[in-house]
Amino acid sequence: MVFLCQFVLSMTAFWVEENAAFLWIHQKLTLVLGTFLPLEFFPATWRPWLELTPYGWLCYPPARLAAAYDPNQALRLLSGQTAWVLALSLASSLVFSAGSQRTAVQGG
Amino acid sequence: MRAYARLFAEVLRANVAAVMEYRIPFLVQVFGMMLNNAAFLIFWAVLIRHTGSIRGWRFGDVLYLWALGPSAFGLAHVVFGNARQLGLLIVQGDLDVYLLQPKDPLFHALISRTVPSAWGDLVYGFMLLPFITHDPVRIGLFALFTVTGALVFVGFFSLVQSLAFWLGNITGLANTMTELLLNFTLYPETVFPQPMRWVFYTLIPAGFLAFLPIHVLRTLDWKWLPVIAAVALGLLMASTAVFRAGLRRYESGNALGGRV
Repeated sequence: MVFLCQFVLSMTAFWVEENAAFLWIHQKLTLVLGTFLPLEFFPATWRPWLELTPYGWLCYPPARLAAAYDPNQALRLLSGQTAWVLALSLASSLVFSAGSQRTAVQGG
Repeated sequence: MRAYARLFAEVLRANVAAVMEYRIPFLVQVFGMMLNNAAFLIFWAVLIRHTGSIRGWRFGDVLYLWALGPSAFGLAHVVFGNARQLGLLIVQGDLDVYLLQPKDPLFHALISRTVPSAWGDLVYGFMLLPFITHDPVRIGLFALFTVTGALVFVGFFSLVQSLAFWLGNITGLANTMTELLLNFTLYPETVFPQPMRWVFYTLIPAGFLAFLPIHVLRTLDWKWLPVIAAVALGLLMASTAVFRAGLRRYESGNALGGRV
């Protein structure tokens, strides 16, 4: 998931000349949403929305599982992460094919 | 002095014109940096919502940290954008172009670049200000501490980077020192154990950059004002002295360069 998120964001270079800012924001969100703070700390109304983003599945759920194993949570985490890997793989292949059509090869 | 002010204004104008040449990437970096900083406020807001306050620091006080730190860091890199490249210029022998000109080479080298994302840091700090205070005295003090903080950043970075005259490539050490100063500046002083706080007023000057200025902003305890200004100017003078001492060891890279 980490690789695919960064891959999709990096490919914005097909459209914008300077894309480092997208990666900064992604890194900070990864840190804040589930690495620095447990997801339980966030208001209850936020949590369903967090699960609609990769950040709700990246760091905190695996760490929590390692600390307090629960087979139901393990299954839920595995299916959630698999869904995100598939979605991000599809997104990266779509973004790459759209972006590569904009590339003008100058030889060399 | 007037000639230096004119050079400063002209170089700043040229730097702004250079970054505006690529307007969209510039704006992406500015707004990206502002969002990047805002992500940390989510962290503090959620944390303090649970803890109430952190050893006397409430969310409003943390806002001061996150306004003053980025705005001072931003101003330092907007105006003296080469401060963290100085070591590289020294090691690669790229100072020739500044040595051949009549103005002070350190001053000229430092101002010769602006960092686009730093404009986002600078604006971000001032954008947070209305959420912290509407008191004109405190707003004026904040602007003043942004300047003294920028001088502390530049003095500290120049000092560390000038060690390249003796130590060669010091990118790793310089990056570590930068991270230390930046990270200490962005956390409340009281989260650190009392015995280690002397570091913030000696080796890593985060105390003069953030903690003392925020104390003055909170309490209007004016006696610290001259101390903060003196340390900022003192650090700048120390870095100039170290740079000049190191310059005797400088070896040119024989690269051709020019300043128009």
